[in-house]
Amino acid sequence: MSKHDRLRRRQARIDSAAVRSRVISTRAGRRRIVLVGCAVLALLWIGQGVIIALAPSDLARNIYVVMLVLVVLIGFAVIGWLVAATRGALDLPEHVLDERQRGERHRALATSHRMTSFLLFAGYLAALLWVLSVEGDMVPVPAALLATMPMTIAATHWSVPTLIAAWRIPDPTPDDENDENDDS
Amino acid sequence: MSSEIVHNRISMLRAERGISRKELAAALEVHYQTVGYLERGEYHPSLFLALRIAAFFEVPVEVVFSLAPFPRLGSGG
Repeated sequence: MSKHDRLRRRQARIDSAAVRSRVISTRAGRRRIVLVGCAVLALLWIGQGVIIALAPSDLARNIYVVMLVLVVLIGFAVIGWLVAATRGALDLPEHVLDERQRGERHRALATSHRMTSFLLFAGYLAALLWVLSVEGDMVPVPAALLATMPMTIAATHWSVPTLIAAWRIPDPTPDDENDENDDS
Repeated sequence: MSSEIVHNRISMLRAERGISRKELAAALEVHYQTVGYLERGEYHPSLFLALRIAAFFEVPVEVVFSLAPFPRLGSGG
């Protein structure tokens, strides 16, 4: 099977999942899932705060591990739904998308670029305030932060475009589901 | 132009020819939802896609797309 065929099959699986998932069939449902996704991302960032405030300690480790388990369990389910809701517009390679899907992808990426630029600047200001609040030339940075911060930034960078695209996408045409059922 | 509304007759032509949304999408090499969004006027096609749609139905492009609303059938317009 060629790579193109594999991609087409993956696209068909995403379409099939989208039709089966009632929770993402309405704009209100999709937006609720997006809000859960935002809460999961916020939890990841709160975890960074926990590490800064409490690490190194058993308490910090335990709180962070519990948060991470929740993020992984809920986050993967949410991303699965959102990939289905956007019909893979942010996940499939561009050459298997049509012009409308490419447009959706470009708009979502442009908006997320602006949002993550703002977040990075806010992060820079927060780090600057942290440095200025410490007396002396050395800032005590917990080792755990160096391990988890890049992961948190990467998760944000990767998921924000999908969250934006899922928030914006209009409802599918009502008889899409009938079309899908006719085929099965 | 203040409001970029493009009217189309895709659903009418599709129904008239007995073509499903998925069949039209396959012929145009677009996602079947894109055909739905086109029919509902929630997506305006590129000139390339508009010409392909017109070619598929074997009609001039102005038969499928218009900046003014199409007259209703039986209105005598």
